Parts: sequence; structure tokens; C-alpha cells
Amino acid sequence: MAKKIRVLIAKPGLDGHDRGAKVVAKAFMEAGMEVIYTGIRKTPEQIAHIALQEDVDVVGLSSLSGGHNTLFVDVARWLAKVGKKDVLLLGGGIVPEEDVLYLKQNGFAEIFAPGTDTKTIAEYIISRVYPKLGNE
Amino acid sequence: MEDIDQLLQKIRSQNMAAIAHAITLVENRDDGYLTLLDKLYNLPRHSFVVGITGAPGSGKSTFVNQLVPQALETQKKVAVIAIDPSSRFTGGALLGDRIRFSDAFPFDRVFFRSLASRSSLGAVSSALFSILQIFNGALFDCIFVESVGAGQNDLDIKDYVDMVLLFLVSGMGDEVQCMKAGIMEIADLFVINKIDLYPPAPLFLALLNHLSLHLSSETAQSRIVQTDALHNTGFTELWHTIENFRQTCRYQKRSLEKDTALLLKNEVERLFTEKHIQKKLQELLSLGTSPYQMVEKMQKLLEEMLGDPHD
Ligand SMILES: Nc1nc2c(ncn2[C@@H]2O[C@H](COP(=O)(O)OP(=O)(O)O)[C@@H](O)[C@H]2O)c(=O)[nH]1
Ligand SMILES: [Mg+2]
Repeated sequence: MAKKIRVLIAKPGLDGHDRGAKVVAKAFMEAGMEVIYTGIRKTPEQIAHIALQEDVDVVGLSSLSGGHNTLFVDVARWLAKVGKKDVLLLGGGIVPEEDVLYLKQNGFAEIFAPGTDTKTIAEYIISRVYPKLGNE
Repeated sequence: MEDIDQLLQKIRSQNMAAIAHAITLVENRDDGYLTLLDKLYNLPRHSFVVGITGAPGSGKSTFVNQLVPQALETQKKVAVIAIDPSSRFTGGALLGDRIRFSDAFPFDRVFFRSLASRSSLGAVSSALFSILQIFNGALFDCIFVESVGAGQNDLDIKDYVDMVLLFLVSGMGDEVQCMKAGIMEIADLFVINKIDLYPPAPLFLALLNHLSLHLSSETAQSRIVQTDALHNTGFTELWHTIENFRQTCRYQKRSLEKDTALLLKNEVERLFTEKHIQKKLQELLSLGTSPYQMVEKMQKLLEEMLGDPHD
């Protein structure tokens, strides 16, 4: 039996729209993953602790409010601080190219633009996480 | 294979990352999981485990969120295990119970783990028993288990916990529902929730009538509580009721026979999803013409293996 990929979908910051996050969560479930959805308005510190306790393989952050640089990088810092290792860190939202570079230098594996096909993201996750889990 | 003794040490010293990792190890049956569980099983009982069941939407998650701060007043460490169903088609799961959970609890005292039921054969994850051993080993004082809340399968939870809370909402047909065989018997405490929305009296009376068949009316009354989980009404009293139960009813006794039977049952159920049993079923398909004939053949095979039960 293939091991399950566990994903945390979280929205750091204050913006209160989570339709996009919910669509992504559902798509990942349909791709066979176990998806933990936290609800809106979590601080980077909370997200890191939740990722640790839920022992997820992937943390996906979404932000539409433009605060991504600080918030996203804070999540990466807090993950290290609480001792959550081995996690694939992804971002989604409207992020300018120069910021994408900055985020990739700060722990993010990939940033997906709004409208990216959720299947593409799911396939990307599977290709990155399955080898780690020892699945074929 | 990782160092299981080291992992055990870390669990004992309440290292949150180690506890989280051990749960995954057990869920995935990774190398060494049985060694770990073997060591954990023999530790003395510490945790008091409360199971929470009831129909989806009856307010179980909201309720746990209110109960945790009450528990934290007297308990050092509290764990919450929230189980949601896995999709039978994709094997995936959407684990959303955290949405109702407050951000304000201290992460070093409250451990929340979302669990997918995975096996399609029961509402309680087959790993639950083992995960409880991990929290017990980490000296968590109180553990709340929120089950999927889907029908008859939910009766299973009784086998895993010290106390069962059954969630009901008045006026939702629960008056009839709760009289059904089984569910009444497993509940230690009946929680009538959403009293702000639905007058609880009809359900309360129906429950009281039913319970009074076996209990004195005073005892029967003490087994029913009424809450409004959304506005935090009735929780101080409720926590006292739980504490009292813990004092008087002690922990469920550990029984080697019972625990082994429980684990074996899970194991056998799980095997049916595995490849070699599927292969055996394919073989049997060529031998019989109806499912009954094939079941008979399967029974014969098992009896040959295990011997006559009447010997
Ligand atoms: N008015 C009212 N709403 C409640 C109460 N308890 C829960 N709810 C609401 O009922 C819905 C389902 O609650 P939830 O805790 O997710 O139910 P679960 O599926 O049993 O875990 C949520 O929208 C809650 O806010 C209550 O006592 N009163
Ligand atoms: Mg729930």
C-alpha cells in the first residue's frame, strides 16, 4: 500500500478569502493526499507548530494580499525554529518574478501563480515526495 | 532502520517532533513500528481517554475546542485526535477539524493531530489504539478522540477509550435515532448540544425515559448534559462530570486478551485490502460459481489452517 502524502494548506496573514485555498485542498484530496486545512488568519508561528504536530510532508501557503515576502519567509524561519525538518515548502498567489527568486533562496521549492492547474501542482508534489516516502 | 530506543526516549521526554513522527511511523507501519509499540504497551497507564461521537455537524469539533481550556486548568498536557473519513475512491482525505480549533492554546501543552480513517472498514482508524499508546508514553494526561461520527461503525470507539460522549441535537430525529440498538449502550454521557437553537426538552425526556429503564432517575439525569458549544455554555459543569467519571469509573482495565483481539481484528481487516488476499480471491473465483460457494471454500481453507474450533 502506498504511503499517504500529508499536506498542510494554510493562509498566513489577515486577508480573509479562502476560496482558492479550499479549491486546492479539495484537488489534493482527489489526488489521493491527506490534506489538513487550518482556516484563515494563522500566524507563521502557528503554521509551523501545526506542520510539526501534523507531521506533514508539504506545507502550501496561499496569499493574495501582497504580504507574501515577509509572511512566507517568516513561515520558513519558524519551521526551522520549531525543528520541523524535511518539508516541501510551496507558495501560491500573485508574486512578482523578483520575489519568486527571493522566496526560492529562502526555503521555498516552488511558487505557483494563480490559475495554475491543480493537477500540475499535485503531480509536482507527488514527484517530489514519493521518493522520500519510498513509494514507487 | 532508525533508532527506536532513541525515539522512545524522546517520546518519554515529551518531544513534540518525536511524538508527531512516531504517529506517522505507526500509521504507515514503517520499519520498527512494532518494536516501538511493544515497548510503549508495557508502560503504566497514564492518559485518560475521552471518545466523542455523534452525527456529523452535531458540534463535536466546536465542543472539543471549548473543553480543552477547561481541561488545561487541571491537566498539564492534553491531546486531541480528530478523525475524518478517507475517500473510498481516491484514498485521499480532507481533514478540517482544525478550523474549529482556537489559535490561543499553547503548543507545548496541547497536541492536535488530524487522522484519516484510511481503512474503509470502520470509522475508527486502525492505528488509533497504537497512537493512544504513544500519547500515554508521552504522559499526556487527557486525550480527546473525535470520531468520524458515521453510524454503526462508530460503536467501535468504545473499545479504544475510557469514556464515551454521545452528541445529540434535539429535533433532528435523534429522539428516535438514539433508541437504536448499540449506540445508547456505549455512551457514558449524553450531550444535548445546540440548545441555543433547538429546545432540548423533547430529547431530554426521551433520553431520560430510556435511561430510567435501567437506572435510578437521579443517576439517569446525571448522565445527560446540555450544552451550547458555540457560546460556551455548560462547560465548567461538564468538565466536572468528566472528572467525576474518571475518579469513580477508573480506567478501563487493560486486558491482554481484549487488546490482542482488537489488534488482530484490525490486522485481518487490513489484510483484505492487501495484494496477496486479493490474489487469493482471484484464485477462488475460478473454483466456485457463487459468492457463497467461494466463502465456503475460504472457510475450509481457514479451518485447515487453524484446526477445528470445537476441539
Ligand atoms: N448555534 C450553535 N451552533 C453550533 C453549536 N455547536 C456547533 N455549532 C455549529 O455547528 C456547525 C458544525 O459544528 P462542528 O463542530 O464542525 O460539528 P462536527 O461535525 O460534529 O465536528 C458549525 O457551524 C458550528 O459552529 C451550538 O451549540 N450552537
Ligand atoms: Mg468535526
